[in-house]
Amino acid sequence: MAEKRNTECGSSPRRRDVLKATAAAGTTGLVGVTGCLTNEGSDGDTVTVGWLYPHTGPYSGLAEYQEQGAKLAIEQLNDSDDIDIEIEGLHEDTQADPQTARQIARRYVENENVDVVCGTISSAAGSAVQSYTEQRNVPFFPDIAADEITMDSCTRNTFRYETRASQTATAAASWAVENFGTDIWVHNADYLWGNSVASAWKSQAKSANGNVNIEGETTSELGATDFSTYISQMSDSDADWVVTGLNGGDAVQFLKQANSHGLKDEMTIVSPVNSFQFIRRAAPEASVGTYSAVRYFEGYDSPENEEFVDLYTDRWDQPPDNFAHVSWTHMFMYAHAVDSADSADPDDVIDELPSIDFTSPMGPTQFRDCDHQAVRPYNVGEIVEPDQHDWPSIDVMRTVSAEDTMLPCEETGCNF
Amino acid sequence: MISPSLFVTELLNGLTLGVLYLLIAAGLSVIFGMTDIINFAHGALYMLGAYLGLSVIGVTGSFWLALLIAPILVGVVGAVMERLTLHHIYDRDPLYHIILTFGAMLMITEGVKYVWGPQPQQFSTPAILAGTATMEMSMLSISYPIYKLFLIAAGVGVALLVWGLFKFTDFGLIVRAGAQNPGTVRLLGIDVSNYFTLVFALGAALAGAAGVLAAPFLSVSPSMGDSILIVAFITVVVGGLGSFRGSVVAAILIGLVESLGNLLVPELTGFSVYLLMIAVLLVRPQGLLGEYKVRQASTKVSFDEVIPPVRVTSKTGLAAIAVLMLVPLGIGIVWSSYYVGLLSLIFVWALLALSLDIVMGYMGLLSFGHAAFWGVGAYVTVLTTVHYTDLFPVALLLAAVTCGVIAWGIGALSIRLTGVYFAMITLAFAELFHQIGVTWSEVTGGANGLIMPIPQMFGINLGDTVVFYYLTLAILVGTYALSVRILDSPFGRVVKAIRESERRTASLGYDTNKFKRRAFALSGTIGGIAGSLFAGYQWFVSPETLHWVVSGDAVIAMMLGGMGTLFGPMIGAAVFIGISEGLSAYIPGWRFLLGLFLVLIVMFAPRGIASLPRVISKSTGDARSRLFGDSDEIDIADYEQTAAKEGENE
Amino acid sequence: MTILETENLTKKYGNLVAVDDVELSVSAGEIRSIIGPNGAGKSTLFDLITGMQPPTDGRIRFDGTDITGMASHKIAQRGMSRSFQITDVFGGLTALENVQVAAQVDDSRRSSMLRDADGLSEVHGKAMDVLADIGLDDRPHQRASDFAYGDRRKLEIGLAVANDPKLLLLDEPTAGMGSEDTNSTMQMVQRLAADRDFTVLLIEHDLEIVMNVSDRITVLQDGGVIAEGPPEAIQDDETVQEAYLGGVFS
Ligand SMILES: Nc1ncnc2c1ncn2[C@@H]1O[C@H](COP(=O)(O)OP(=O)(O)OP(=O)(O)O)[C@@H](O)[C@H]1O
Ligand SMILES: [Mg+2]
Repeated sequence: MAEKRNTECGSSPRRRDVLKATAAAGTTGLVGVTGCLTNEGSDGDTVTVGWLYPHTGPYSGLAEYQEQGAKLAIEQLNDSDDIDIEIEGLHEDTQADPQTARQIARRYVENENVDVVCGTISSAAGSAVQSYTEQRNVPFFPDIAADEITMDSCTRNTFRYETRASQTATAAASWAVENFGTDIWVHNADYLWGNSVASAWKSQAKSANGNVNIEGETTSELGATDFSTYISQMSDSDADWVVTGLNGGDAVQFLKQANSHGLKDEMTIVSPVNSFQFIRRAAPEASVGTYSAVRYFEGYDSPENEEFVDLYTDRWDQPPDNFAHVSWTHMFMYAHAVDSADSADPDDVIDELPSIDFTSPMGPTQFRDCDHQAVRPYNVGEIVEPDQHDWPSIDVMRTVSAEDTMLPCEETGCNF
Repeated sequence: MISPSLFVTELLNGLTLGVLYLLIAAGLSVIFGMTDIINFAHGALYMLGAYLGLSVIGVTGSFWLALLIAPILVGVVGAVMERLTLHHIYDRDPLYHIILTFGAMLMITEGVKYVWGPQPQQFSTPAILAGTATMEMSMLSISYPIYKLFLIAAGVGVALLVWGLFKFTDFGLIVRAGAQNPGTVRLLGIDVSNYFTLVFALGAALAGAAGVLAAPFLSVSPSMGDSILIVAFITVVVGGLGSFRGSVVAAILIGLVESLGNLLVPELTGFSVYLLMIAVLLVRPQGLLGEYKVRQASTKVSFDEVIPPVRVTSKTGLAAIAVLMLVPLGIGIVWSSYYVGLLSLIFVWALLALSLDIVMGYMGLLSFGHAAFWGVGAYVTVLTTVHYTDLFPVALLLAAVTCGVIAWGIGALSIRLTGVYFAMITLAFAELFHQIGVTWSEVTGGANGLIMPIPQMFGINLGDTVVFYYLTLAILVGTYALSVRILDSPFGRVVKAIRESERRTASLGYDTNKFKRRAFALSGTIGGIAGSLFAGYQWFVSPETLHWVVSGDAVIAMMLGGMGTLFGPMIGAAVFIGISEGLSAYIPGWRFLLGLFLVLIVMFAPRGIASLPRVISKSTGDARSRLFGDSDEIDIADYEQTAAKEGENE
Repeated sequence: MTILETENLTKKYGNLVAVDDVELSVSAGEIRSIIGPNGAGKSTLFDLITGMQPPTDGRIRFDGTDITGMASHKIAQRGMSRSFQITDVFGGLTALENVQVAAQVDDSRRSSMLRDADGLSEVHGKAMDVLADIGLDDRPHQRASDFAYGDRRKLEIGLAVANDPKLLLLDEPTAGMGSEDTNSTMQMVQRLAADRDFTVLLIEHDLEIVMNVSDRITVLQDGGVIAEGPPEAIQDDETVQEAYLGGVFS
């Protein structure tokens, strides 16, 4: 990461990267033509975005994509003639520590006067920043999937394009019961998102089929490295399939160890996130033959995605992963809201955001009025042998429409 | 119902872990036996072994070469580390050795991040060891990864090799004799100090070997050494320090407790190991097979010079307070409110560093567990304001009392074990609290933590940056003044006497354990106040407040500023927070610099910033006032006080 | 009256018997010397008596109470004090503070946290008296570690005296001193014992001194007592001469 950061403006007082592309370049001409612009104070046309990335810890593999997606979006937006605002991005590492994340958010808001805060992946850092931005009334776009963020603990300033854990469960759990069987093992990392996954999959599976039997439930610590004991217990059970509420490094570790213990021969492994490129690349053999909800993948077939993948690959020399597309989309939706409200005032932007229609690489989407959760379709797929790239690809097997995955507003428990 | 197959599989899982712990703990134990040093960098060396193994495989493509070369390289790193630093300061108090190895740990960890990147790396299982071995017997049907069976065998092999080395070679004989009595060996005409280097290299190589062995099965990441270091500490505590056999027994026991505990009592996952440690401490404090007697030398902290605390009522003290009182007036003109908030964060950290200095600098107890007070203080505050009352002072008081009681309890369990033992045990206790913070989610909110309402006090909004600033300033000044008073009290005299010589203090008729418990409780209370204020600053608490990194940071702040001076650690906290806020945004590996600072300070200016004026005046004579105009004030103030004190007494 | 009594007191380190079945009886007011070659077990005997090491076997009675197995600080509180063979003073504290720590041990305010330690006037007075007695009252505010070796040895004794002991155990108080210092130190000990009225148990290698100051002498060898009696008797004792004195007096 060090090198990437250093290519930013060396002379600027903080690590600001107001990146401007020269107009001469074509659509994909963003490559390598970034320049520096020192910009003190924000006039009406410049908005400052404070990004937070967990470059250390279990999510570090995901954060790289997150930062690249955000930076690409900022470059594109600054270069765009459609949207007449200038975006200044601040990018810092939270070290996956909620205390640090909150402290940086505080500096962003109080010292850098940012107009919006984005990022974080772990629900811990996310909810720490969420409560702070709420108190300071600054819009917040978290890249985290824990249910609560737009349910019980939703806030007026929080907007989420990233999936809600229970949405992927809705899309995938009933399908898994249909295809793999009714005896299920549930394992999750013991934290907000992991617990969301476990409870959502259990309840979705049970409501899909009355015969569903939870063979066993285990939890590991976030950041655990040895899953042998859980794997041994799963392997000893009669479960048909196991769903894992594990992400990032935890998911990779689990897959690798499950593979070496031969668990794949005994049951089907299903996950809400193993479709992430990071995970497929880190555990290639281990992930093939497992199933996963698909929030995003680089081979998804849509014109928007093709364009996005091309731009992204040109800029960063690798195709995007889920968090690249989430941060990219967040940045675009925010910019559209500022543009159409013609103001970066928090209240104006917050009021404007639910009326923004946007077509993301994964299809049309919009923030709901009632909980600020994005409405979008979801997919389930199998991780299969490499196709276009060196790492495993995905066969999408089922798509669930946006409407079918959304919880009715009354049931979200969200009030602001 | 647990099937026999599952039971056997879990047994194997436990053995795998046990063998890894054994390799690490054996290295730790070997180094300690000879040099009296507990190597905090041991986990980092383990991690380095894994990364070097990765690179050797990258170059040669052979796992077997990696298994041979990487441990040798780690051994070399260990030897270099010892030669450059520890070798020159063996005559110093062990406390400095531990802090030095802590600095080395930061440097190695950050160095690895710089070279290999912060992301976890993948280390594939060698093809010949891939797949599973299957065993079918009447009741048993087990299939188990071949690699892990290999790991168990290889680990046992390495352990036997080391045992043979100690038992049957001259090297082993000399090292064992040297561990018993360095003086005698020296009399035999053997330069023991070279053996120190060799032993350090050997211990490091063992850690490196463990790293390579673990890599294909656990993930390779810069933080992989952290958790294993704590388990290794617990292993040597349980097995008995300096006892190789003890380490073996304890390591296997802990591995089994972890995996079988997980199966039989899943509620205790993550706790079983700590419970084992506490049980052993209560029943056999010297460890299962340990004969460890605290060596006089390994418990002492002494200073070349006394640097008395600056008094609040001295000119320097009053001037500093006056300047700080004026700071908020500059908001919007000179600086933003953020910086005023940052200053209150510094005050809060200053309190924590101060609390640590009371036990370390004044009583010579090396606490690596102050995160417990910081975190518990924060949790109690948030829980109180969420559930019971929005009166912040009530929460603060409750936090202080709770932490005082906890400190007293930890002290009662472990204070009779001094020196390095205390460092390891406090670290483990703090980790226990961290574990509680993470696991007991119904109360603590788990990894996500808890959000607190904006703190209030009799209608005053403490969420206001300026109000909170004055609150923290007032508490800091008050606590500091009180601490100065306490250390000058009859109680404080005894505390200092214990630092100088516990045996002597006891022989005068003092129940030194009682004094140590009280001082530790006092320190815990202040730490709890700091934690409570931290919660008040963040309006939020999460298990990171209980993480050992906090304890380490407190040690760094204290050392930077100057141990045993009370005001030094507060300056250290300011510098530490300043550096971390200032550098972390620019330099990704800023913690490397912290580690380097720490090593340099231990080596060349063991009393930190507080002693800089003197260090410099010694080397540059008159140039002092020109170079260090600011710090000079401290110096003069000291002289004034010493003079004043002498005046009083005569 | 007997102030200290031991019954078959024994200490083993593995196979080594450092103190072997020692029966000792010391009367109040006596100056008793313990002599014996290096490694005879003298210091170990002191460690046992003061409770710093648990005996393997045997009993110890001090001032009418059985103190076997009692914690060393409790024994000290009963009026037993000791100095160490290797100087063990509080190097980082001043001479006065050193003695104050010892002198405040009987004060009810000894663990008060809020008083000024220098404000306990009786303690301060007592401490200054001790410093005067050991001849360090000219430099009360000098750090102990900054004193010359001889003065540190004196402070070592001063510390042991300052908590008003009934029985004082001195482990080679003159170790490492020149003959002049040795004499003045021993005179100091005698004077202190007389003024302050305590019993002395003394380990000393300089036999001339031992013969001069002792009321009685106990001779240890290989952990066991081989002779005991007044100086003249010891001087004439053949076992002692053969085993230990090796003709010094003949
Ligand atoms: N902690 C210990 N562990 C094992 N052996 C010990 C220990 N302490 C003392 N010893 C042994 O016990 C014996 C008696 O030692 P002690 O120090 O009591 O002798 P001493 O008479 O005081 O000798 P010196 O005149 O040299 O001071 C010696 O052989 C010594 O090596
Ligand atoms: Mg002796």
